[in-house]
Amino acid sequence: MRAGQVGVVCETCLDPRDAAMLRAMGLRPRAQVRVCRLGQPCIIEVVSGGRGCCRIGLAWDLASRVMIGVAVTGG
Amino acid sequence: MMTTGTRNEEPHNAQHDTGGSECAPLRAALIGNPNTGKTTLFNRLSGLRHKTGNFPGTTQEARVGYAQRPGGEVEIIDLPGIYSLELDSGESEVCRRVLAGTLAAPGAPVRSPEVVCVVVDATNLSRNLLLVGEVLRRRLPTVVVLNMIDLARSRGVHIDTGVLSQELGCAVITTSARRGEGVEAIAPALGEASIPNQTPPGTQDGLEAWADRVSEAACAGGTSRTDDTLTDRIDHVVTHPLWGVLVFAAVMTALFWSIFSVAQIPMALIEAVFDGNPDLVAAWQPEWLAAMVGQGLSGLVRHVLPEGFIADLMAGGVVSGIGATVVFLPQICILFFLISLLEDTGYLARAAFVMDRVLRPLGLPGHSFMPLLSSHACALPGIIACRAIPDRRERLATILVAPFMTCSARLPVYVMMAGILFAGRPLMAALAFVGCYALGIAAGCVSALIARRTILRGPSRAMALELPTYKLPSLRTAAVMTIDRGAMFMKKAGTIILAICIVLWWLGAFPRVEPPAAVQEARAVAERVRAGEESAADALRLFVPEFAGAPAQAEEAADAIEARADALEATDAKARSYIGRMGRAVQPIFAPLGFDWQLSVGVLTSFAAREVFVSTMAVIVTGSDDAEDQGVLDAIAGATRDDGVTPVFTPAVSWAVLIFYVLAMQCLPTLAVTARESGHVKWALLQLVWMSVLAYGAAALTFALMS
Ligand SMILES: Nc1nc2c(ncn2[C@@H]2O[C@H](COP(=O)(O)OP(=O)(O)O)[C@@H](O)[C@H]2O)c(=O)[nH]1
Ligand SMILES: [Mg+2]
Repeated sequence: MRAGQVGVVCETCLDPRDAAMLRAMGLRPRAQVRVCRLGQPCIIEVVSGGRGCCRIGLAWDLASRVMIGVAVTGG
Repeated sequence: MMTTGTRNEEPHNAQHDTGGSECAPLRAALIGNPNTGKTTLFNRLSGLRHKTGNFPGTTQEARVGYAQRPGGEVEIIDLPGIYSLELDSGESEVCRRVLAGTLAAPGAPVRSPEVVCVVVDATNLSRNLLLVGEVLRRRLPTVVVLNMIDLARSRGVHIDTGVLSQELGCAVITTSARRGEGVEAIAPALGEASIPNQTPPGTQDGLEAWADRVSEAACAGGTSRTDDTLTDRIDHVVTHPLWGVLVFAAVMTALFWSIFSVAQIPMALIEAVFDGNPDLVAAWQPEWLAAMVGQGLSGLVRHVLPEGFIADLMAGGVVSGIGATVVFLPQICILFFLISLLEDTGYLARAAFVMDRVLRPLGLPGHSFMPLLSSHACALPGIIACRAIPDRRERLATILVAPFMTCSARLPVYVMMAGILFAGRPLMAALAFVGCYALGIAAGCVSALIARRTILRGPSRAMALELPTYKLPSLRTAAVMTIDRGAMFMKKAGTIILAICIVLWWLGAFPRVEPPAAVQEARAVAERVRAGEESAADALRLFVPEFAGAPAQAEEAADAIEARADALEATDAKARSYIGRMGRAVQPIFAPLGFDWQLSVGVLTSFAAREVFVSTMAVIVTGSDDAEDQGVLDAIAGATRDDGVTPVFTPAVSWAVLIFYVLAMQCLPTLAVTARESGHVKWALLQLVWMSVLAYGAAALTFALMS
């Protein structure tokens, strides 16, 4: 993944507590996301069309366990 | 639950409530995702009519406010922000229990709220609806407040509240809490709320699909990415490994500079009110006013009350004790005001990630940064702020090390010791100051590392935080927060700290003893000198040699002798008081640090509050507790031990005292708060023992190396 790319959350391998937390924050399977910044911290924007968006900062340990598939080829 | 239901389904609900004062106010719980504007809304609805406390048995803050509605009052509870009711976290549990009616704010009867008010961020509807769905499933009368409607509009999002209200099966109100638009509709709606007639699916997948469908139906238009490039750029800078740290350092420097410089003015004012200014006495006419101006509140108290026990207690224990605490109020208020402003901008969430990099190797999360920052003003609010740390072990570790940060109560001690060690060398004194700050931080870091490797060993939870959009801070929210924290601090000063001061004063003032023979003799000599007796000349030479050859100054000589007699009496009374006896008894313990009994008394009396050390030393050494006066500081610096030759403060002893006060616990209120916030006394005891042992060891080592 590169910064600025748009993708879809495919799967996560996190412990259940973190997974439930992230899911409630909006980072759920099949959610559309845009990676704003990679590294420590990783900043991910969860986009849901016209229905809102939010930014989530993730420590790299967490971010590296969230698989994001590039959906639309943006470059 | 049953009564709640029937009551709200009654058509003449409002009528029912006007019955009279025996009718309890309608209870409404304010729930929602973090940063949706709950607190702003709460402040709008209740103004300053609120109480802040803790939900019993938890570390979550409970704020309860009151607002008027047609036909009665509403009691509003500001619940902590949560993403879901079902998560395994303290905040979620508090919300679950409040909704279920098994937990209530302190003082309020335990019952479930009559109505739930879900605050929803209109700019992020689909995620916020997840929580709405969970609440709807509880089947309590519900009102949905669609907040931040101004932001949504400016992004071109249009939300059809009619459709939304139909899909959710409950009332929907649009507001802009920040500007106060639409807020007036909330209280009446709370009174008329009914049980929702829709039940969203219970599984997470079902709920997500439901939320998507509802938001799809209600929303129209809007591009979700309008100002993102700007936010992106700012985020890049403030979380950058280099630039982020620089920005962070600049913000912190500005913060501390304001705390210390701006607070000077109100602090000087408060000191003047409590201690007065002796140079101004002559200028004021009514006698009580002169007493007030000259010696502050204690002077006024002494003037008004008849001389005796009560006057002594009021002036020596109550007024000076409270005065010593209230001086720190401006610093605390300014700190909280600025922190609230910073928090509102959205920067602190980013700063937490910057600090995460620094704190993580020590076993602390980025969340610890705010509590540790607050602890630099006072450990009490710092420890309370630890509630924001999600992991229990990490929270405990932060609570344990917070008191190592240099709080404002340490400053008087640092000022005095730096003055003694580096008299006339301000640069060295400043360096010593910075060194003390650094030593405190270093001790905290090492302690955290040790704690996380031993008793609090455990995985560290990686940080995930929502990064709120950047906003202009709201002065209103900051002002309410400041008043709230200030009131909490004053309450503490009026209870715990006041009690400690009274006990200490009593221990230092009793038992009352006859003045020793030397004092009586000196007074007699003064009498004779004043009477102009020839035979007094010899005695005069003995007591005040500088006046011996000048019989013309008999009056001054007599005054000088009497002043000396007073000082001697005070020192003697201190030495023979309960606290003086304790000082002698424990002195052997402090012998390896080079402390004599007087310093031991200082350590004992300052056990409850470290700043008391300075005034204790002043009382013991000079018999006056006016430590502001340069003459008194000189007297302390030149004080001698019982043999009358060896100084109390040799360089080695001074360093030992300084190091001791950097590291020692010496603050009873902090221990009380630690016990409360950690949930067990054992953590407070651990903190006390660890800090004391560390302080003792380091001071003993310093003394041994220096002498
Ligand atoms: N533009 C706008 N900002 C708001 C509104 N309500 C709250 N805010 C801001 O949103 C931020 C979070 O508000 P706060 O009340 O602390 O949210 P809480 O975490 O739910 O208690 C603050 O910066 C508020 O000033 C609103 O209606 N419009
Ligand atoms: Mg809040």
